[in-house]
Amino acid sequence: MQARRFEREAFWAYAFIAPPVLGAIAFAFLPMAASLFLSFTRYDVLTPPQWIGLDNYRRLFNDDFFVGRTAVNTVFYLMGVPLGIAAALTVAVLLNQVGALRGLFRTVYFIPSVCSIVAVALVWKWIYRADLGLLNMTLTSMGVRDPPAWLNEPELVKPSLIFMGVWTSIGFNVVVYLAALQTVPRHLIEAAELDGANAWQRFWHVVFPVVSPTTFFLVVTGTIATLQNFDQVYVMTRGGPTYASATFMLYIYVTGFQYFQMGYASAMAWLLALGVLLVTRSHFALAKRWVHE
Amino acid sequence: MADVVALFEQSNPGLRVTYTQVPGTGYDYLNKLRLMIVAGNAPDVFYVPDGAFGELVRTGALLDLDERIAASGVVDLDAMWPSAVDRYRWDGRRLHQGHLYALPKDMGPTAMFYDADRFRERGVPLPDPVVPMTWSEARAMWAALSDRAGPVRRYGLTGYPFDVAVWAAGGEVLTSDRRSWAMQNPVAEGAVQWCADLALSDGVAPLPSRVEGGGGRELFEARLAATHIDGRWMVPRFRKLGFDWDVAPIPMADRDRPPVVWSGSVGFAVAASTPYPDEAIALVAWLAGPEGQAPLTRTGLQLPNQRALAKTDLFLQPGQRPVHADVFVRAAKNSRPSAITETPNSFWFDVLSIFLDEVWRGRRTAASLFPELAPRIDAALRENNPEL
Repeated sequence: MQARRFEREAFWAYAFIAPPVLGAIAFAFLPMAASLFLSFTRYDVLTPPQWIGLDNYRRLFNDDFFVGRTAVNTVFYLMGVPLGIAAALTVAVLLNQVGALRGLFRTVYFIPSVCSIVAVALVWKWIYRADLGLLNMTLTSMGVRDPPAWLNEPELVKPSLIFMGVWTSIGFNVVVYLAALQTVPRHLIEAAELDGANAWQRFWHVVFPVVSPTTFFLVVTGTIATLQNFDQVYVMTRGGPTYASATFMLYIYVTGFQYFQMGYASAMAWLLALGVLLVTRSHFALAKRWVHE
Repeated sequence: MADVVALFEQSNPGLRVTYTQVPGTGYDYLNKLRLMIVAGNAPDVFYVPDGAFGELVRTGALLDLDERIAASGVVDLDAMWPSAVDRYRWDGRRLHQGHLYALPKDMGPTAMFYDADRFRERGVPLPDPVVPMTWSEARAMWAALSDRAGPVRRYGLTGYPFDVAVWAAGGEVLTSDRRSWAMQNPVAEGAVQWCADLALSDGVAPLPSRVEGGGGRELFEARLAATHIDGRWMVPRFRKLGFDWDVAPIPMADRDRPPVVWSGSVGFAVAASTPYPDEAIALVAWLAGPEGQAPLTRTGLQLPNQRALAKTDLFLQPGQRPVHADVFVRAAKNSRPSAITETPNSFWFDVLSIFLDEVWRGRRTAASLFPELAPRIDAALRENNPEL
């Protein structure tokens, strides 16, 4: 009797966990295994894959100019992570002081986060347009002659995209920080005040350490998102000019879905996955030095 | 196209064709087509742009039309432009020769569109519709049409295609065996630099950073550029413009060499996997023959693949712009397909375009860049085209 009831319970338990497990196997693990296999082949999708051993990886590390350039670009984009977090923390601390309209401000800041990135990117593309863009029209009306082509100059395109990225991500980061700021114990701040700490000292020595786990969370997720950045660049610039804005992810897409070199693109995807893993591990290793549990 | 397919059904009772249109750009179309082929779901008949022909034919996705076309006896290849037909040939290793794997839907030669009103305002004589100008004559004309100071900058032209410049100067983009890049020499370097200097030193063309979205076309439509080099397919769009425009031959380096321009084309191909090869070939032969070409030409979008038809009012369309539509007929005779049609995989051309941007921006001269670029392009060429 006992045993049968247990069996029946076990049956239902397995039945309930089966959909997500089978889903993960079918749509995550099998494709990953397939891409690992394909990364050792030459595969154009239309003809069967040909085994070429480590050739794709050799090409990745030896003579692919674009891997180098997109890697440099990605490192540049990573500068947007601390900038975005600093901006979000500043806004969150200020909002935390606001009493009445906090909910309204929180909503306003969060709006970009609920918008489709493609829609946001199209709007920013118009803001940045060299001839009729909102930004340059404003600059021209203020008397600036020949304002720059923001998305069309190799030196300006990355900072322009980073600025837009900060704007896009700030809402989410602010909301997370606002929640964290609620957890800062009042008595610690009051004690610091009594000891004569000024506003900056109270922030740097009390508030910042308390919210450091949140900062850590945002650094890790922000870094991963930046390493995988694709949609923004795809919609705004397609990697141009002169590949100055291309990300590694965009290059994977172009290789796989424009030139149908699926084997090579798979090798790149595995390299990216390894890169994300290493960067994340190093974040965790460094966290011991600055994150308060 | 759906109307033309309906005409085919009328004249071929018993055959039914389902026409599927793919929304989006040409790139979206190719992506969908590739995925349909991979999924074993390829349409029986489909368009294949000349630039994508090599990549598709190499994979074996296209049916060899050679014998079947000959057997059917209804297709007269000699009535078509040779350069339009030959770009759909493949011998298993090289393109432009060997068996035929698609029939041209059209021919899209390029010409110089010009804003005739602007010429008149400036007192600049209109370009000759028959004899191409030389580069030095054209340069003076573009300068006379430009406003380089002033609050609104106006240009003489939107840009000159660098491959045409290289051909016009007597150079080549690839070597004849297509195993190497052929632009590392004073002739090609000079031609590319000439294109760059139109913007950099003359100021008669826009810098690349000032050309967005629709390329130079938008500048021409907005009357900010007096001339614009583009294909026949722009005609229906430009007919909606509110100013007087016409076409003239693209200026050539000099009068010593025969004129040469670029032309695009789209072909009709049959899937290798089709269960209805005979019916599919009947459709392709009809569309590429005089019966199908007549309604397709009426749209104004294309020069018909049939040479005889191009000389009739069906194509010349008197009473509508451009007045000198025969410029396209002469351009078709002198035209050749883009260099990207010469290799199955054209990644090397992307590499070239990315680096050429440094020349367009004046950061490098062609002469200093090309020696460094040659091994990189050759590697991309060989890596992705092992059959060459």
